[in-house]
Amino acid sequence: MTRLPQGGLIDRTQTLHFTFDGEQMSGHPGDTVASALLANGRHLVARSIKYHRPRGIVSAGLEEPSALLTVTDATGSTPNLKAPEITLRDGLQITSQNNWPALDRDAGALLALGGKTISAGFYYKTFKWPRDAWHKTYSKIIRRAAGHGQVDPSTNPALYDKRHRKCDVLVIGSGPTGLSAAITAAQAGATVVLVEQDSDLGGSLLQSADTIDEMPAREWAKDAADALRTLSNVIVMPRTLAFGQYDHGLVQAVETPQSGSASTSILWKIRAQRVILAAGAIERPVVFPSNDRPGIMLANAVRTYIRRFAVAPGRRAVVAVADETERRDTMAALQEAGIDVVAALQPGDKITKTTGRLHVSGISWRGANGKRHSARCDLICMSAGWMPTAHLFAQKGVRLSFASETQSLRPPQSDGPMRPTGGARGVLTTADCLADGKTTAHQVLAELEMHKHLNLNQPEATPAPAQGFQTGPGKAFVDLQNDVTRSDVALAQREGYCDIELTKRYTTLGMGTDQGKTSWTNGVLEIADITGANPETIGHTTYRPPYSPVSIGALIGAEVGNEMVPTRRTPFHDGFERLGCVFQTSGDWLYSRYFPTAGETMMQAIKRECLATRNSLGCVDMSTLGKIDVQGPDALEFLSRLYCNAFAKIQPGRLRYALMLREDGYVFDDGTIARLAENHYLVTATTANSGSVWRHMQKMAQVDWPELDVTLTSVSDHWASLAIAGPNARKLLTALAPDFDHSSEAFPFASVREGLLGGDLPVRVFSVSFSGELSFEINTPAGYADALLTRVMDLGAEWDITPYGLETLDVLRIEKGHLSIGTEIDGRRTPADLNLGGMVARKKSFVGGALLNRPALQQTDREQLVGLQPEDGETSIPYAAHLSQSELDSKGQAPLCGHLTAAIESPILGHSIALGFLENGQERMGETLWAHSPIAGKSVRVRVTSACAYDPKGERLHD
Amino acid sequence: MTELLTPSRATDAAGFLPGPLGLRLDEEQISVRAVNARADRLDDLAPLGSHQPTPDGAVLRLWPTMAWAIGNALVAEIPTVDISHGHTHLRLRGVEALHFIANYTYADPLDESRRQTKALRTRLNHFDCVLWWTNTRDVHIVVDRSLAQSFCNHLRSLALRHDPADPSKTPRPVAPGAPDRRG
Repeated sequence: MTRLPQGGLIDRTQTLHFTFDGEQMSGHPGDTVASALLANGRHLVARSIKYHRPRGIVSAGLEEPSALLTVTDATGSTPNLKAPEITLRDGLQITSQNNWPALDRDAGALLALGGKTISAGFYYKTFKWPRDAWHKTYSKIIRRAAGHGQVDPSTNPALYDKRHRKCDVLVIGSGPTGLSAAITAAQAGATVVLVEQDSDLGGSLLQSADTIDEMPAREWAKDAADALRTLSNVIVMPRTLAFGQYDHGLVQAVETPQSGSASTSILWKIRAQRVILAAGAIERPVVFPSNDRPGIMLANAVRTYIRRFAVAPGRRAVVAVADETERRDTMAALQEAGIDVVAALQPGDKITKTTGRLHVSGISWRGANGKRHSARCDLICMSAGWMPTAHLFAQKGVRLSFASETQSLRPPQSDGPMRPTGGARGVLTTADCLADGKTTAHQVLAELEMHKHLNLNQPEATPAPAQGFQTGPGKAFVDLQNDVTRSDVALAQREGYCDIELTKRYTTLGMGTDQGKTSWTNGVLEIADITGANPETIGHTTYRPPYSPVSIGALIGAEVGNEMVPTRRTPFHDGFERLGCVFQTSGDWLYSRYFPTAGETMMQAIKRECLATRNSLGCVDMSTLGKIDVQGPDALEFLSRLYCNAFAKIQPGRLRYALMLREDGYVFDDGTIARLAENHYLVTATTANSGSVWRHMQKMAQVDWPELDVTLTSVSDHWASLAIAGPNARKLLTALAPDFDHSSEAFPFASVREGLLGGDLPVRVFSVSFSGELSFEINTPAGYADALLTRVMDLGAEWDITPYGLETLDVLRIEKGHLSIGTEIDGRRTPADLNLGGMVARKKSFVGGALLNRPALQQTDREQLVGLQPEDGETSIPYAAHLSQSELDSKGQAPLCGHLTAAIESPILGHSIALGFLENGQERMGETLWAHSPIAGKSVRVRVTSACAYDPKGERLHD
Repeated sequence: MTELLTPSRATDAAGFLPGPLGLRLDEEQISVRAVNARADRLDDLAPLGSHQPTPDGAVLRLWPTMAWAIGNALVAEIPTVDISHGHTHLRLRGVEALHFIANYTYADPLDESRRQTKALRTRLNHFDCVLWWTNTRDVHIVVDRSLAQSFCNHLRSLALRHDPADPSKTPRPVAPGAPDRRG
C-alpha cells in the first residue's frame, strides 16, 4: 500500500472493496479507481493499443490517455473507461484490456519487436493482397491483436434519463475561475447552473498549495461551494460532464448520480443565455524516448494524487517540469509525501532514455553542458506546459489559434453565448483565474442587463516557459493512446500527408477516446519542428461532441421499448382488445390488424372477414382519419380554392369525394367534404396525411387567404368513427334506432345526418364507402366509442357482424380500385394518372391548378392506374412486380413499362388481382404483359383491366 | 349536442405514479370548446399566453387564432366547436409536480413570464401538451386523447427515474409574492 497516513479528501472511516484482474483491493469514498489502484501499489494497469507496451496511469483527469479499463457492476460491464474518471464504488470489478494471457505477461508485446516495420500506414501498405483477404482474414487478426475492451452484448437493466434545464448563466467547471464566475453571477441575481465533471467542487484548488483570502485554497473552494449551494438561484451539479455545445446556448451534459440513485446517468440539455467555459487547462507531457512507461506521470497528476487522494505514487522521483513555479510546487508535494526527489531536470536538459520493463526504473539525460547523468527512480513527474481546455468552444466551428507566447492553441475573443475564461483561455495562476472569472461574469451580466458595465481588466494569458526539454533519439510517444511516435509523425510528413487532417488520419494522432487531449499540442509542435513550419499555420482538426465519451444509454434516456415513440390508440382500442384483435403499428397508430378466431391464421381470418363483409355485415374502425371542422361565411370559398373538384352546389346534408393537389399539381390527399349546415363543413383527410393536411389548411387560412372569414378546428380525436359495411348495413342502422329518417330515399349514398341512436347516443352518420359495399360511417364523440361498439356488436349479431382490420380493409379497397396514400397516391401522380381527371374543375381556380397544366403533366403517355389479373385466372401475381412487354433476357433484365402498387388474393373473386401504374395504361385495356418480380423470383402473364375489379357500376353501394 | 351517457376514460390514470416523488396522476373529465376567431378579436377575450379563470371555468389562450373555453366559460358572440372528447385532461399533483414536469418540457414553465401566466403550450419529450397550474403542486395537463395512455405510461416511466428531491440541486419553489431578485 502506498496510502499516506494522513491528508487527502478521502473518507478513511469507510472502506470500499473492489477487484482488479481478480485481485482483491480496497479504497475509500472520495477515491477514483486510479487513486485506489495507485494506493494499492498497482502502476501497470493497461497495454497499449498497437505495440502492447505496458502502460500506467498518466493523469488524474479526463485527459487520461493510457489507463483504459473495463468496469463491471450490477448493470453489466462497460469497456474503455478512464481510470481517473471512475468514482470508486464498493464491489466494482475492474479488468485490464487488450492483453493475453495476463497483463504482466502479454504475448502481444512481441509486436514491439517489429520496430519500425509496424509504423504509421503499416496496414495500408501491407494488407493489400489478395483483395478478399482483408475482410476474411486480416481484419479479424488485427482486431484480435489490437484494440480496446469488449462491448457487453447483454441487455442493460440500468435506467437512464434525459432532462432539460434553463438558466441565465451556465458555468462549466468549478475551479477558481468557475467558482469566482458563479458567485459573481449568482450575487447579481442571475439564475446560475454550475456543472463540474468531478465529484468534488474546486478543480485545481483541491490540490493547490496556494492561499486565497488568507485561507488554504482547498478550504476557500469548500466555502465557495457551500455558499453557492445555499442560494436558491444556483443549481450546483457535480459529477456532470458538459460534452457538447450546440446552437443558441444549448449545452449537453451527462450527470452520473451518486451510487444508489434511480438513474445510472442523466443527459441534461441545458439552455443558457450565456455560458462561461471555465474548464481549466490540460497539462502537456514531455516527448522523450520511452516516455510511456508506468510510473511516468504528469506533474499535476502527481500533486493531485498526493494532496487530494493521499497516495504516494512512488518512492524515488525525478522531476522534469519546465515551469519553475510548478517545478517547485511539485517538489514540495513530493516532499510532503515523503518521496525522495533524486533529480530535478532543468529546461534545456536532453532526456536520452528511460529504463524498466513493467515500471520505470531509471532515467538518463544530458545537462546543458553536455554532461551525462542518470538516476534510478520509480516515478518521473513531467510537464512541458499547459493547453487550454477550449474543446467545447471550438465545437461550434470556431478555430483555435496557436499562440507562441503560451505555446498552445488558444480560443479567440468571443461575443457568442460561450465565453472561454481562466485556464480555458490560457490564464493559469490562481489569482488571475479568480479575477478572470469575475471579469467574465460581470461582462455577461452587463450584456444580460443584470448589472452595469464595470470595465474590469481581463488578465493576460500566462506565458509558457522560455525553454523546454531536449530529447534524444528513440521511441518517443507523441500520442500515448494510439501509440503514435515522433517518427510516425515524421513519416507522415515525408510521405506527403502534411495537412493536419491527413496527418491525423494517417497516423491516428489525436483519435480515440481521449481525442488528443494530451497529444495534440505536442503533435503540432513536432510537425513544426520537422517541417520548419510556423505552428500558427498548422492549425487543428475539427472538434466535435462529445468532449469525452458518453454512453449510448445516456443518449437514449427513457426512450426504449414501448417508450421509444408515442403510440396513438383509437377510442375502440379497449373494445377491440375484448374482441381478440391483433394490433399493429401503422405510423403513430396502434391499429387493428385482424380478428382471428381460435386456431385461425391471419390469411384465414382475412378471407373470413372479407367474405362476411361482402355477403352480410362487417365493421371497421375509421377513427384514424383526419377530421377538420370548417366554419364561416367563406367556408365554401375556402374549400373550393383548396380542392380541385367542383362542389359549389353541394347541399346541406350531402357530401362529396374530394381531391386536394399540391401547388406543383400533383395529388396531395383525398377525402370527403360533408356540408353539415349552411356555413359548416366537415372535411376528412387520410390517416397518413391528417397532420400535413391540417398544417396546409392552417397555412392557407392564416397566410395565403387571410381575407376569408373561415375558422378551422381539428376534431380528429374528438370523433370516434366506426364503419358498418355490407348488404345488411342499413338493417343494422335501423336496429340502432336513429332519430332521423334513414331510409334509402331519405338517406341515400353520399349523405350525412346528425342525431341520436337509441335516444341517447349522439352521432353523425355518413353514408360513404371505402369497401365498395353499402356502408355507414357512424361517428360519435370518442368517449362514447365503447358504447357504440357494444351496441353495434350486440345488434349486429343478427347478421353475424364481423369486425375487420387493416388487412381486410386493404383487400376490399383493392378489389374496388380505391386509392391509398403512399402506394397509389405516391406524390408523383396527377388526377388523370389516377383516372380522376374528370373530377378536375375547369371553371375555378384552386391550389395546384396552374402547374397541373404543365405540358409534362398533360402528356397522354404518362403512367396511369390500371388493374391487372392473371392471364390464366389462377396464378398469383407477385407483390411489387414490375411490368414489361417482354420476358426476362438471359441477364434477368427486360424493358419496363410500369410497376405494381398492390397485389392480393381476392376472396370474393377467387383469384389474384393487382393495381399498378402502366405507361398510357387507359389505352391498353385487355393487353397482356409480363409481371416480373426479381424478389419473388417469379414472372407471371397478366392482363390489363380496369382498376375496379369488383362491382364496377357501384350497384352495391345502394339498396 | 346533449350528452346523455357517461364518457369512458381514455387512460388508466387514477392514482400515484411509481417512484419516490409521491406524485399522483388522475384523469378528469372537462368540457373544452375551441373558440376560433381572428387574433385581434381573441385578444379582447384573453391575451396570448394567458389562462384566465372565469366564474364557470376558464379561458385558455395559447394559440394566435384559437382559445379554449374550459368548463362553462361564456364566450359571447364567437362560435365554438366542442372538442372535449378529443383531449384528455390529466392532473398531476404533488410537491414536485411542476418541477418534475419542467425536467422534460422544451419550454420552461419556471421561467419568469410563465410564472406569471401559469399556462404553457409545449412539448414534453415527444408529446405535445397544454399545461396550466394554479400552484406548482397541482398541474393540469391536456394531451390528445389518442396519445393519452401512451403519455401516462411515459410519465410513469420517467417518475421511476427520480430520487427524492435533492435540495442542493433543485431550486426551492419561489413564493408567488416573492420579489424578483434579478437586476
